Amino acid sequence: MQLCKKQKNVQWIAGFLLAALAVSTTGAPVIVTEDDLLTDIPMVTSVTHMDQTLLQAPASVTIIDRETIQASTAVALIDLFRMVPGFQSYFVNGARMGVTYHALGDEYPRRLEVKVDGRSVYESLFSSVDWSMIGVSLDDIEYIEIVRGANASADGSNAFLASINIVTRSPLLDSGWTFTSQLGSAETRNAALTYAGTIGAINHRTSLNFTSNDGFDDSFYLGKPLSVDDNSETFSATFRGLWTPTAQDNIEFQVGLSNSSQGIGKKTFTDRDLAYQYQYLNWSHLSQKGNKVQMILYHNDLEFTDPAAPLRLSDAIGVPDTSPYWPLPGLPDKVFFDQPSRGTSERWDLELRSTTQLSNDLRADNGAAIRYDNVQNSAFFDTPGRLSQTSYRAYTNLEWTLLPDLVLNGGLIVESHENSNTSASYRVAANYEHRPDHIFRVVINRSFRAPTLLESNQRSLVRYNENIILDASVITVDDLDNEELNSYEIGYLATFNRNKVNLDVRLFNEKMTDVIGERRDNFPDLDNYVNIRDNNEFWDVRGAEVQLLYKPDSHFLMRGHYSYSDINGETLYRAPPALDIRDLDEYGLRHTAGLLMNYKFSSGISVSSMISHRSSTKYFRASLADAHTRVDLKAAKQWQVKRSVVDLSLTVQSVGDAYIEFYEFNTFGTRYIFGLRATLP
Amino acid sequence: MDFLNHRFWRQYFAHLIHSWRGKVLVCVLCFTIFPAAAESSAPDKQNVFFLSGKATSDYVEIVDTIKSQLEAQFPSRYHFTEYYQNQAVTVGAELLDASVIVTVGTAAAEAAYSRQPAVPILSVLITESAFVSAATKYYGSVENAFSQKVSAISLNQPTLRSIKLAKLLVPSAETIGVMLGPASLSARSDLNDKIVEHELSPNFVGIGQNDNPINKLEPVFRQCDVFVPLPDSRLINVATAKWILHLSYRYKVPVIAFSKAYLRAGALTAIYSSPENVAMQSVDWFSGEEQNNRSGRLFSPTYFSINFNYSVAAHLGIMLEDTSFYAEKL
Repeated sequence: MQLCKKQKNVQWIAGFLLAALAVSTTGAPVIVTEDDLLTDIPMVTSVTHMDQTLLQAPASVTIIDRETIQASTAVALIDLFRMVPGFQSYFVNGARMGVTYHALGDEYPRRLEVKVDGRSVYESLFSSVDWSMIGVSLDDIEYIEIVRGANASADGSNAFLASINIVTRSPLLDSGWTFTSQLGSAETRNAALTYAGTIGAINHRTSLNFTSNDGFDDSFYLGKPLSVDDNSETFSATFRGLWTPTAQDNIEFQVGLSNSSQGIGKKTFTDRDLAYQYQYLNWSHLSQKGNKVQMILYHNDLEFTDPAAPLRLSDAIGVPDTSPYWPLPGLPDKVFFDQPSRGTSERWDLELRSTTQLSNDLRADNGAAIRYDNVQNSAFFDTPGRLSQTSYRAYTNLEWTLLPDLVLNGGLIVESHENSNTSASYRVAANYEHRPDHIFRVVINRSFRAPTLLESNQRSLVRYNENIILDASVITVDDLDNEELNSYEIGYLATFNRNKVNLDVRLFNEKMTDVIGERRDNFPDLDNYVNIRDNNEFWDVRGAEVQLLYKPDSHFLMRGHYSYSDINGETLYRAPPALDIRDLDEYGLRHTAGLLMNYKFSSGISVSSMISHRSSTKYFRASLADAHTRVDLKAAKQWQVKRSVVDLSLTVQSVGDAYIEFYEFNTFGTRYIFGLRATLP
Repeated sequence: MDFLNHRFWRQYFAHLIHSWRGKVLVCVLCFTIFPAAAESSAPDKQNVFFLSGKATSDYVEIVDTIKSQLEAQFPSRYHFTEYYQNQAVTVGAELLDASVIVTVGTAAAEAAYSRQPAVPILSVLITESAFVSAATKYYGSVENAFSQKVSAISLNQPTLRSIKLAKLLVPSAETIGVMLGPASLSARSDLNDKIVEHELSPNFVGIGQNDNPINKLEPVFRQCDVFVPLPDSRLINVATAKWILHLSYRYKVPVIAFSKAYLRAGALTAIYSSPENVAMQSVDWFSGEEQNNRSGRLFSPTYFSINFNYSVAAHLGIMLEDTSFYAEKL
């Protein structure tokens, strides 16, 4: 009897729901209101995950769009960041690249989140991004959103100082075949073949990419000739599929793999083999009211192998085991590094996100995510096993239009990592539009960056056996803490002359404390010292950035920027009693500037110049580089034959004197690159 | 009991007037009473009551522009009261005391209609379908609302303008793709005739919330020379805009959009009612006889704005004249 009652209740409820559904789907006429007409079409999403215009966004955002990419003289992906205020991009080796913002320009720059279509490509194993492996060529990019300033409240811990989201081309934008090729100096041989089409109801864009170059020319080091063997070859294949089963739902999935052989090193070089693959799924659902729910799931997997480099202990220390100075009396000489060194880095990430219009003037983006990282490399972690960590994050970003000319943004993210303290990063911003399309922005940020698996677990030891350590290079302290950033900025964004001129000014002050660095300490090994990874640095960066875009018509484009950074930093190089505090100011880059100009003639000829200037700087654990202004030129011609388009171009990079990139033996001389692009729809 | 004697008061006032205190008092009275009296003797000002559903920029701009233009054209004819509210549900007695009510937005219109005041109402920033729905809900029918002096200026630009603009921008166009949503599906046959009149061949595509938008849009883009999406519900607009713009890029088909946001996102051009356009037509309504008429009307928008996306024009290889060139021909 009880069961029957329950069944009846269920029937009633089911009947009511069906009736309600029937009414909602068939009965009422569709009414379009002014909200439907005035609604914004997505513009910028990286800052809060909500679709915002630049005027509403709580941060300075640089957008490098397709037109700018085509106008630029970029050959490598990182060349594009020469057009972004405050950014520093450089080649460590022929294929290893670094991009950083307001922080040390070192071999593995950190503190910058990099995403491709929302998928983080920041690797736990290197605490950095391997730009050569992400499988994105210039022709694959639709636009790049660069949030200048901490974006942890939306993108999490790694977006400590800035975040980059590379948006690749939608399968809908192209059709048929596209072939691109670049040939030129430094034995540059790049080629890509792309096909955009449909498989049943699925639109896809499939690319094959091959890049190859012999890196920097041979040079001199300390007066002696140096063979710079940093040549590289990379092959990648990517597939991007798009399925829109209904107007409310779209499902995007991507798979990709890359294989690369790279000459890496400093003075001595080795060939590193890398293999990378990823899978990505993004399901997006729009509700009747236009609210959006998203589920993003992805998996990255990186593996590298360094060849065996056998080395006898006696050769390494220059003392034969027969000598009375042999450091291991009674123990024989031994060969080390006789096996290839393997490393792996894997990440799974699942994120659920919703964007909701709570009221007429209040929008919210809420999300929760879980991430699993695991890494393995016996040279880094002194164990053949894998290390892993699971982290959780939950966030909310609110946009409140308090007055017609005043928009407030607030964001909060709580992150919990297995290997570090739980942290809460937040951002508060106010955008005041003092006249149409002119806003003042004030932003306050407090962010925490959790150490990566490498940073929190590194124990780089060379052992004679289980008990005897010959050399300890880096050991992490047990209680490594999160890095902390407190920053504030005042921004001004304006458009003039009917949107032909766009100006973006940013004044900022960023105080970083508990910054993770390395200090020197004594250790009972052969050289008696070790680097201890600790929260032993602080940075105080103040400065200003100006970005100007001028586009008076469809022929001319000018994009300029200037950045001034006054960087004060100190590191505790040795703890007491041998207290040694060192200045880090010399590693700062005080002035950067850039100017891109492009003119397209009606005849299909296009000419560009890109000038980028940097003041003198010292790369961290690398070389001092003098101030330099690099001038690039490009000329291109386009032909259209029926629906096919052919582009030929000549790019001359670094016209004039050579300059130093990262190491003093990396001399970047004038390079000539011929380009071909042909589309066959 | 001197103060009960009128002689006492006469003597008192005679003394007061001749004293310095009396002269000051007289001056004060002159400066206060006479202007007030003069004002009270002038014809009564009309109390225009603005009821706005939101306080966001478009709404505020419309109210401010109407006010400033009315003040400029008819100094001292109107007295203004503004009421902004996010949930336009409760409006006080001041609504009923107004001479004219101007509602801005759908929520404000519904709030005013629910009180059925006996004074003329002008509803702006409202679409035709929202007006019809609200009028039917609160007055029984649109005709009843008209008879109660309810007027509205539709926000929707006539589709005919978009079709004409498409032909002006792409004179060689033979086929025009038109996207209809659930809200605009009924206009198909009427539109068909208008398109044919302009020597174009229509290719309609209807998108419902359960349709695969790309599969339905792609064949149309492959065949058409220019594309016009009609405004629909927010869901349909947002869900289709991205795919429409991507397909527009792929097939080099210009999109004639209905909003500035669409234009910024990648349409070639947008033809729409700006807040200034809405305000100008509202002032016309005040200037004309309409507000004194016994019955109301639904006005089609007289004014419009056109904007171009020059980057898109360059990609499409379309040479654009100045916007005034097109505006004059529309």
